[in-house]
Amino acid sequence: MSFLKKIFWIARNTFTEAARQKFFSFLVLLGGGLMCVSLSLTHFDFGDSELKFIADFGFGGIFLFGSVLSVVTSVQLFFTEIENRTALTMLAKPVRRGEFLFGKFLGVWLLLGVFVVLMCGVLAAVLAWRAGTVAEIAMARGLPMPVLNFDGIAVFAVFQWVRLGIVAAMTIAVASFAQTYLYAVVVSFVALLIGQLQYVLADFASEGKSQIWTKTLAEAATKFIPNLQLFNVGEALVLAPDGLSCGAIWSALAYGMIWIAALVFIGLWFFRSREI
Amino acid sequence: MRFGAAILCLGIAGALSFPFGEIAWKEVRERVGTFSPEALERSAGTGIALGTLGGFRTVLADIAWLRAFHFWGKRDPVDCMKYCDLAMTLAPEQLFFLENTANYVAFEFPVWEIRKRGGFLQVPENVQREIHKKALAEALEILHRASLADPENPQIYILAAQLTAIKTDRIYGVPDYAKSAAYYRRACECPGAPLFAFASYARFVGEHVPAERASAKVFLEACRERAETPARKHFFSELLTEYFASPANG
Repeated sequence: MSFLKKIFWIARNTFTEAARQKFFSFLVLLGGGLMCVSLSLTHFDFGDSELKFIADFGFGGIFLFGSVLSVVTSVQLFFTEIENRTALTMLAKPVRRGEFLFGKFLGVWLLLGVFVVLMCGVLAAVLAWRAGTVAEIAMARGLPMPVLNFDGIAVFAVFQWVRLGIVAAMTIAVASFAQTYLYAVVVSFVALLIGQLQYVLADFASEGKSQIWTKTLAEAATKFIPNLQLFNVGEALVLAPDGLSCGAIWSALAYGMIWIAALVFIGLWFFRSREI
Repeated sequence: MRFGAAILCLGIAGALSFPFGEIAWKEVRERVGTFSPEALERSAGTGIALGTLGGFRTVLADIAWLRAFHFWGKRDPVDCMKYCDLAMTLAPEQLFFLENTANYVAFEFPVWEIRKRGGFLQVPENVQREIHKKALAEALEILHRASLADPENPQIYILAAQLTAIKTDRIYGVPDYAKSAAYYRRACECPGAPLFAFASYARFVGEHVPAERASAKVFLEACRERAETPARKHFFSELLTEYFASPANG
C-alpha cells in the first residue's frame, strides 16, 4: 500500500501548490464575478427565460474557465517540476514515474473539483435569489412557475468535474511527451476543441448524403475522440422539469471515467520513456 | 511505436466507452441543439467553434442577434442574414430568432431590394412581385428547415401560415388560402397546438377553400371527440357551427 501513500502525498502537494497560485484565485473570482454580472445583463436576452440566461452564463463560465484552469495548471505543474529539476530528485527516491504522474493528475483533478464546487455554489446562490423574484412575478401574473432543480446543480457539478477530468488527463497525456510548455498548451486546447466538436463528426458519419469512404473514416475517427458534449446538459439537469434519466447519468459518468483512465494510462506510457 | 500504442489505447477506450456513450447520448443529443453540416456551412465557422464551448452557446446567440439587428438597421441583408443564421444555428430552440428572421426575409429584405433598384415607382410591378415571391419562398424555406429539426412544433407551421396569408393577401392580390390552411392544419396536428390555430384553420377553410371543407369538418369533429374538457368540446362545436353549419350535436 506504500505506492498509494506516495500517490496521495504527491497529489496533496500538487493540490496545495496549485491552490496557492494566483491564477486559480483569479479564475475563481472571474467565474464568480461573471455569474453575478449576468444579473445586470438580462435585458440583452432574447426570447429566453431570465433564469436560463443566468444559468447559461454559469454553465459557460464553469466550462470555459474550468478548461483554462485544467489545461494551464496541468501543464504548468508538470513542466515546473521538470524545469526546476524537482522531478529528478523525486524520481531518484523510490517513487515510480507512474506514481509521480498519477499523483500529479489526482492533485489537479482535486483542484478542479474545488473549482467546480465553488462555481456551482455561486451559480446556485444567484439562481435561487432570482428564482424567488421570478416566482413572485409569475404568481402575480398567473404564469407557470419557473423550474429550478438544486439536485440537478449537484449532478451538473459532478458532470463538469468528470468533463474537466478528461481535459486534465488529456493535457497530462500531451505534456508527458511534449518538449515545450507552449506546445503542450496549444495541443491540449486543440484536443479540447476537437472533443467538443466530436459529435459533429459523428453526425457527418451518420448522414446519408456523405460518400461511403468518408463516412467510414469519420465514424472510425469518432471512436478515438471523447465526446465532451455529452456533459453539456446543464439546462436539462437544472432548468428542465423532466431532467435526465438515472441510466443516462450513470452511463455518461462511466463513459467519462473510461476516457480518464485511458488518457492517464497513455500519459504514463509516454512518461515512462521520457528523458527528464 | 509509442504513438501507435497510444492510438491503440484510444481505440480501446473508444470501443469500451461506446455503449455507455450511446445510452447517454440518446437523451443528451436533442438537448445540445442541431449543428448539422449544412448549418456549419451556412454560418460563420468561428461562431460555431466558440458556441460549442459550453453554456455560452445561447449567450453568443444573443450577441449574434444584436449584430444581426445592427445590420438590419443598416439595411444590409447579406450581413444581417449571416448573423441571423448564426443566431438560429447557435440556439435552434429559440423561436424568437426563427420568427424574426423569417419576418426579415419575407417583409424587410424585398423592400430593401426594391429601394436599392430605384424605388417602388421605378421598379415595374411584375418585378416587384417576383422579388416578393422569391422572398416569401426563402422565408418558407427557413421555416421548412426548422420544421425538419423540430417537426412537432406547431409554432413553426403557424408562422408559415401567417406569412403565406399576409404576403399573398396584401402584396399579390391573389391570396393562396389553401396553402395557409394547409400550414394551419399541420399546426393543428401537432401536440399542444394553440386553440387559435384551429380557429384560423376553420376560418380559412370555411370561408375560402371549399374543396377542403369536408376534410376539415371531419378533422374538427374528431378534435371535438378527443377534447378533454367540456370547454374545449364547446370550442370545437362553436367552430363547426360557425364555419361548417353543423349543429353541435356531439
